[in-house]
Amino acid sequence: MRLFLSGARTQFWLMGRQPDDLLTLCTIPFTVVMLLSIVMHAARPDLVANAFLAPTLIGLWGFSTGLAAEVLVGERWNATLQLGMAAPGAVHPVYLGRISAVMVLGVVPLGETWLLGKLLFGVTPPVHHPWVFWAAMAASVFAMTGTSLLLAASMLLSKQAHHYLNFLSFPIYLLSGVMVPVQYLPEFLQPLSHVIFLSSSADLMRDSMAAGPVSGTGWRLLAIVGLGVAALVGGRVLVALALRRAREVGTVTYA
Amino acid sequence: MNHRGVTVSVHVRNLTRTYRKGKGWRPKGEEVTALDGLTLDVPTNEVHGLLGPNGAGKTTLCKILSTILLPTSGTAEVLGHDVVAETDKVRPHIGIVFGGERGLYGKLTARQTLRYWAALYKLPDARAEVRAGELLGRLGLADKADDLVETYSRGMKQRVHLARGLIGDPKLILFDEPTTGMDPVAARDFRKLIAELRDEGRTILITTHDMDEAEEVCDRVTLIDKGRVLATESPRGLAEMSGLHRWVEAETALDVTGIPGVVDTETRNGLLRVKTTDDRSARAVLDFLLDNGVRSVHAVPPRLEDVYLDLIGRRGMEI
Ligand SMILES: Nc1ncnc2c1ncn2[C@@H]1O[C@H](COP(=O)(O)OP(=O)(O)O)[C@@H](O)[C@H]1O
Ligand SMILES: [Mg+2]
Repeated sequence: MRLFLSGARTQFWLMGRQPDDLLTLCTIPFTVVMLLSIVMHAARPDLVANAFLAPTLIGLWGFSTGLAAEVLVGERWNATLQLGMAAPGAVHPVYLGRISAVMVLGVVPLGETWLLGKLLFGVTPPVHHPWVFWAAMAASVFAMTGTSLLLAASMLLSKQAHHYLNFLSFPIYLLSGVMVPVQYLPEFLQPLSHVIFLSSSADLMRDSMAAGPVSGTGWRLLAIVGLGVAALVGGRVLVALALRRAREVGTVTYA
Repeated sequence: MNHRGVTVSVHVRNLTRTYRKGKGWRPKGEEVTALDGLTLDVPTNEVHGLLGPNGAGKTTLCKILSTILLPTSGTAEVLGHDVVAETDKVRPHIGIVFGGERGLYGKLTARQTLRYWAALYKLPDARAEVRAGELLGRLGLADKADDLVETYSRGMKQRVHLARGLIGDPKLILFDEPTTGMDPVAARDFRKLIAELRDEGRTILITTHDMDEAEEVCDRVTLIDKGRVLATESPRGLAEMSGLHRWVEAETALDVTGIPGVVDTETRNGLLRVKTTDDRSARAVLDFLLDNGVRSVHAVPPRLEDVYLDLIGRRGMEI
């Protein structure tokens, strides 16, 4: 736990001085303006919730892929990875702490989206079940943290992972239903979206904003957290594998 | 303890490490041998120099000893613990300082850097703060401790590296080319630091290209080439053992080439250096020069650099 906290604290120190790390936040207004313009112009108040959710979750994903997933390759590039391996403390809690610190900031796009909606369009969506909404957001941040660890470790293991990730972002936005609810997608694509926790997050958050009752909240939260735990465990295993391989092959310093 | 009852901090037997070139999960390319059956003992509290040309395997050895890299075969023990099987017993007691610009976080201050590493060296928070303060003071970083490392001069960054390496109060310190790129003042301070660290009872293994430095700070040096040990001796012992030529140095422009036993002469900044085959011919040159009224004359035993060049050849001096 101390190592985890030390990692988190260090990441906050680092981010505080690297404003370009927070570039993700600058892309949010574009998505907000684009989506809200369409929704408002088409006079579809029923889609306002979607227009707010999309930038929020895309922002979360952006922090994960743009910043958190880069932590480990950054460490290797900086030659601090090998110094960490030689230290008696375990490095994975430290790195998980650093990734978590990034993901805590993943909540910022939510506030930003709401603020921009209010300032530019004079609307904010009603949230009829605030507790469910926040619980779903928290579960999503957690799951995204696990996913980030998994992504970070994959990038350490494979140079290609980087390219795939850039390429994957759009399909993921689509399949996870952060832009358009999954049931609007072509039918053959819908099963794919179940393995992506973001789709559960987006559905639950959308429901929590709607007026009607939310069904199966507990299970649905559990599903998100469960997928997060799976990613966390997978990430932990991959980190161990990556470090082990680095010790064998001798490529700790560079790819 | 070894059989003679001397504690050894580093005990290496037949250590071999090969790399494979190429990419991918299991590189399939050509095999490169970095260490080729290397055997070495470093007694506790010794300052031991590792000298050898680029690619000799020095860094590879440091990495294996610091548990960053696995050996291909052979064994290495640090403070009596195997570096492969007992990493948890080895890691708390070693400090590493690898040369070069990397290995620091430019966006952290020196104090934050030390706090970060203190956690990884399992120091409790209160202890970490004290220790960081001590090290910053000791390395002359106290004034700038709360400035970002990226604003530091090269020499100061080097000192952050050193402080980081000492954070865990290591019994064995591995320095891999620590003085590369240091200015002369910093290099002198570094030599002082090495002496202090030895006085504190630590064992030091240091790789360097700087023969004068090795001669000055090392109790013993090991010359390695192509992953093998060529010799391990005190710098002086190595020179005497080498059976190398004696040199005579004098401030003169006289010609001594005719004297029997003179192999070669060179003049640098008005200083004549005469290479002779043995003590007798060195004596003859000395007498000749003194007879001709030359005042500042002396015979010098071979320097470590000469021994190095003799054993490894000129290519070793390219950095
Ligand atoms: N990660 C690596 N992959 C492949 N070859 C390597 C790697 N690291 C070192 N080598 C090779 O191993 C040999 C020894 O290198 P090194 O230990 O760095 O020597 P030194 O530190 O004495 O210059 C060199 O031939 C070098 O090219
Ligand atoms: Mg080297």
